[in-house]
Amino acid sequence: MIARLVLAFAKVGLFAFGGGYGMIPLFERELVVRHAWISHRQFVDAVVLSQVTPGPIATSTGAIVGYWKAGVWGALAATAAVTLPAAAVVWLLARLVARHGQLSWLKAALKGLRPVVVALMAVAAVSLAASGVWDWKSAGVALATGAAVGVFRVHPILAILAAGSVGIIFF
Amino acid sequence: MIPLIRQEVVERRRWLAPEDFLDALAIAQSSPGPVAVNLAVFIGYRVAGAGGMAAAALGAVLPSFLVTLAVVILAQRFEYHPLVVRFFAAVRPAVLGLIAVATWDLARAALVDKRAWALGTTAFLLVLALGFHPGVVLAGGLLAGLVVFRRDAA
Repeated sequence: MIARLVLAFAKVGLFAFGGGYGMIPLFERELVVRHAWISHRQFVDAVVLSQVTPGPIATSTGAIVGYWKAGVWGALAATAAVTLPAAAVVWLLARLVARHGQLSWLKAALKGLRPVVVALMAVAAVSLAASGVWDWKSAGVALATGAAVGVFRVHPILAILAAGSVGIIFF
Repeated sequence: MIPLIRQEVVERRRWLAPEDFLDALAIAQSSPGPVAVNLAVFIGYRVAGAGGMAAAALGAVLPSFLVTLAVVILAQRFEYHPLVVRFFAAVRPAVLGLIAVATWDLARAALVDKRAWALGTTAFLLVLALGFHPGVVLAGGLLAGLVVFRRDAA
């Protein structure tokens, strides 16, 4: 199990451009769709936990799903696996930039990557929405959270805690 | 996390000049993986070579790893407590709201012209309708960017 965890998380770490929520589509594809290690619902729970704990979403998701599947060693292995391949790329780029001293080609590649990351996030949003059970209350929470964070710029962690409190009272 | 790193590295310890920090951030953001960890790796390498790189990566990941592990162990123990169940029942749809906002914010920064829209739409359809692996589509976007945006970046 640990070897398979390492492979899956290394793959996500290597392809996860865009940072933060940009990793969600890849995690969903690997953990939920491809290996079926966790359900959509557990995946969303992992995202919640990784959001309310400190540190980057990707490493926290590694720790959480790794722990669920293979205990503390699984957590350690998955966190390392999601971090190290990316670190190798950074190291490579750092050396390239030190030698050639210009970033223009990197910026061009990034410009091409960004629309793709947006597209992948949109796909993930569609697939998560399709996997959930929707009633008036949960649709209301989703809309209110979107408005609070998107329009009024409430911090995501605060929004999650607020939504959870609403849940404790009304759900 | 990034403003905190900037404050520590540029202002307090003066390991990097402000413009070097911007370059470091550009590299961290254009590499795959968590941006904050990438940034730590790059700065560690610049300041103290391979050993610095390893130390910075460990320092960036380990404390939050331990906290996350503690939280997930606790959460699992109280998984079926009614309060926890109700908390997560409301937070799950909230996460969708968060992802939607994050997508929207990134879309405004990324979909700057017709070429970007074309790339994004193609990627969306390839993954959603034809089931392409996200990694393949990302690699395609990277190459497309090198070809299509080469001239305006220079």
